[in-house]
Amino acid sequence: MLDTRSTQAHHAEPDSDEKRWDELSIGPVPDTVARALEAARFHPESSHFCVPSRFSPEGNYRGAWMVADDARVAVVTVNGAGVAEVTWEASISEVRQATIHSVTGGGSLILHLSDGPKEITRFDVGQTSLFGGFAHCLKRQSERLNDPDNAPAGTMRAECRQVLEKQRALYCSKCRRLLPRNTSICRFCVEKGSTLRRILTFSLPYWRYLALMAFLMVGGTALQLIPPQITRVLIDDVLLSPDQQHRLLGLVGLMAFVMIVVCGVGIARARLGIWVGCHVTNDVQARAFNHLQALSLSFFNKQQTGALMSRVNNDARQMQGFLVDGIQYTAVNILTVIGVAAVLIWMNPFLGMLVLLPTPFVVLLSAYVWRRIGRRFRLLWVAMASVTSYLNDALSGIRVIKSFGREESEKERFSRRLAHARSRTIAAEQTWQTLVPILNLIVQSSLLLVWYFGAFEVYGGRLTVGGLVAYVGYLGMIYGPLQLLTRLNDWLTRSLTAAARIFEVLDTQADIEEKSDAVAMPDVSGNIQVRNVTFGYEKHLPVLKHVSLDIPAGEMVGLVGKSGAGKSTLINLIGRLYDVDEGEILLDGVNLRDIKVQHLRQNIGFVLQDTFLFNGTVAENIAYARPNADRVEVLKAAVSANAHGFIMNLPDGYDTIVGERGARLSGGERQRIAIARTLLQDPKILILDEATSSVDTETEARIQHALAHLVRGRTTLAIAHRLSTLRHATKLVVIEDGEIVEEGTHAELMSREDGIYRKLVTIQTEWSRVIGVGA
Amino acid sequence: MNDRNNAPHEPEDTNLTVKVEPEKLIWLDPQRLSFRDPGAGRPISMTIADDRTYRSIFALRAFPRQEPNGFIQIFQGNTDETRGEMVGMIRGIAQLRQSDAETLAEALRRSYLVPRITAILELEEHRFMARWVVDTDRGVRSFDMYQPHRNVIGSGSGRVLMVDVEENRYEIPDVEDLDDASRRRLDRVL
Ligand SMILES: Nc1ncnc2c1ncn2[C@@H]1O[C@H](COP(=O)(O)OP(=O)(O)O)[C@@H](O)[C@H]1O
Ligand SMILES: [Mg+2]
Repeated sequence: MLDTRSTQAHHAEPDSDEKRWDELSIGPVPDTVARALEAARFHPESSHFCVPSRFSPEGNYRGAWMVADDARVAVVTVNGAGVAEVTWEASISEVRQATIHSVTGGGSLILHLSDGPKEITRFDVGQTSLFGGFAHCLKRQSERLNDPDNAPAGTMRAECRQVLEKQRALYCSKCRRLLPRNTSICRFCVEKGSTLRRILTFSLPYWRYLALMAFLMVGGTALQLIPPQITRVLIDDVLLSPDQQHRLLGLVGLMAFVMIVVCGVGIARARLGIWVGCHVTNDVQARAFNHLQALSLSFFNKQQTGALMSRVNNDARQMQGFLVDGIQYTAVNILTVIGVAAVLIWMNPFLGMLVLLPTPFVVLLSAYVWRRIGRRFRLLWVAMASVTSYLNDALSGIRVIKSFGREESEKERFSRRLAHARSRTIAAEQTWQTLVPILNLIVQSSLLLVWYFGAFEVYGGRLTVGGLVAYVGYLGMIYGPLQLLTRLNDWLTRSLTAAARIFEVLDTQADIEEKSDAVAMPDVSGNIQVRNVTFGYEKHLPVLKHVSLDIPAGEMVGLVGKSGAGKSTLINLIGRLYDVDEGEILLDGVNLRDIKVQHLRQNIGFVLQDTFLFNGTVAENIAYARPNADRVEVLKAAVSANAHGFIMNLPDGYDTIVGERGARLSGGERQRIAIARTLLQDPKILILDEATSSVDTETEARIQHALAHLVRGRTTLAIAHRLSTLRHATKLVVIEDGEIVEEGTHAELMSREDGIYRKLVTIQTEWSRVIGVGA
Repeated sequence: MNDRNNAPHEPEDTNLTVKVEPEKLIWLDPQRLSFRDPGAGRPISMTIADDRTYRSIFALRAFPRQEPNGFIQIFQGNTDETRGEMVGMIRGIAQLRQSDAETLAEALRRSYLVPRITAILELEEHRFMARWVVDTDRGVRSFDMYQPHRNVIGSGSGRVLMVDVEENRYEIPDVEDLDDASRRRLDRVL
């Protein structure tokens, strides 16, 4: 074996081994590491993992390579001289437990061997999930080696590959920068061209308007070139020869006519541009919103809702700005520059060259100036934002400030920020007011050239006086566009970035996907079977472990356990807000993944601890699931939910606006509206997650009545802190640390001497006795 | 449904949430503490004289910025039996014996992988990101950062915190200690 490799190495590809190591890594594996590994009898064909941690075991950036094959795990470090060696090695069967310990700025991989825990290496924040996954692989492999009969399915190789692939997917394959979450499109590597093309596909439906716009642009620009020519004729032929006076009125009239037409064309073009731009942006926004609705909750967990709102709103507005103004100005300015330059050269090649040659220099100079100014203003905006956010804080917290008597110190904090903002304003504005005039001076110096050398052209008879005046006129037309074009790149990049961010949302894969052959199940009977389900929000940290549970149709099951045990996670899985990692959940014998998502959700009603009401009337909120419900149905649902009384006492009854901008309702009141909403939805399966934990005892009693109505005839899963809430349950399930530890009726569980449920009940009973509430 | 009737006691009057252990602030007596670092990545252990030994501990700062050498909370490490339960708090490292103070400092170093920047070698600004190349007490490193104005956080005292795209942290203990070129680069975003 060794022989074949060395001959290979001599012949064609000296780096073929390294290549194979690279496949087990994130990025390239250096020669020296590969050599050290082979000296220690690790081979790329039989190894599964070879990844440098970003910190060494000592915590410096030299890093350390974690390597594993089926039987062994090892660390390779590279010393100061650049020589790698295996510094630690153990057999995987010795690994009893593999965990990661997260700390500020990273974490460490800890293996529990026969002689206790040991920190193997350290890594940074970006590698937490990678090494967490690796730890998980090691643990499973150790189980396989030690107890082959009960071993977990799968192979070390496949599991490591999965971990590696997940990590690779986080980085751009080209520039290796971290990708924005849930997408594979790098903001750096996305070509401006492709984003631009994509924007244009959205504009395609409006191509007629675009064509008209293009025509108006070219026409408008061409017309603008006419007035200076009229000026020339006016001066040369009329002004300098009094006998031509009769042509004066005609020429001025012509000039007026052209000016009016140019103005009209400009208005038409701008209006058209606004119309098209707004329509395209709207289409993009609608697409992004529809797509967001389709994404699973795990996307929203990771993304801040605020950031999403900003994408759909601000980024779309940026893009609109570009579509409305950007494209137009750009095109018009480019056309103007080209047109004017052509005319300048056509009128007098010598003067034309003279004024056009320094242009590249001027463009570069102004690009530099604008960058400097831009930086100053960015700093200014940051300071301003800090003043604004401070003001916002101080004004909304004014009561707290006054009640603690802190007015003076707040005044001082505010004036400090103001002073900071002031100095930045001065710096930014002074830079602007200094650099821009100088720039203009430089740009306009070509005017001096024209006057001076132009005069000689006039003396030499190669240019008329009128020609010279027209020349100066054209020159004036080119300054503005030239300066704007220097900022074009800036502007274009910003708009395209905004567009790329929106496309990022559009490109995000929905991870709850409906199969194309999903079963339609509009009516279900409500049998739920949870079979050996394992799930973690992060794969290496399972929150539920091997959970199995049967809930027959029409029965009520109570979930009990400490907070953080995994109760809410279980019901999220039953509602398929996430997909399970292992095992399956069946509804009426059909795997949830095979059911049409809409039908599944239709059949499941959620009443959660925090109820969200939309901005709208009480009636609209109750009828949310069935907008066509009539008034009597809405009333009946509200009465059943014990909500009618308080709704009648609202100023506009059922037409009272609630939600963020509406009337303020208490937690219990919102909860009862939610119950009415669910009653009207009439789902076969009902999920109650701590529906009563945020309210006082009396309100709870009211909600209890409402719930009693609701659970009748439905399969119900209820989670409650207050165990008395679950007294109607036909079965109670105690969850601890993601595992079902007890299961049975209230009576059965109470009869267990050492039962956890019994303990929980006893504690609660004692507490209420001590404090003297309840009973 | 009739299970309910033969229940030993109805939990009718259980109207309170599950009891939790109230948290307590436990001060550790520095005179009685000793720490041991067996090295080679083994967990640091702590002994309270006349009481007990914790085989694996880790330490966190309550006020990492205001008082890095005081208010150190000790936790039990992640072993088979224990999972990060709190042991107690040490008022100041200085009150410990020299060798113990050094071991505790090592424990703290393990809890904070926050490199200290000694020089800023490069700063490359893009529209939405900046790429930094820095020299730190742990070696040279380059990293990307979104919105530098937001992720380079200065405090009045000259200390600066930087947070990169992956949420790694870097610290400049005192801006005044940087060389001129580094300071100029920092000034572009601060
Ligand atoms: N969206 C999430 N992302 C990551 N971890 C989560 C998420 N939701 C819950 N967890 C974690 O999962 C565990 C179980 O949480 P949960 O099911 O909400 O518990 P319970 O409802 O029993 O109080 C907790 O450790 C919690 O921190
Ligand atoms: Mg919960």
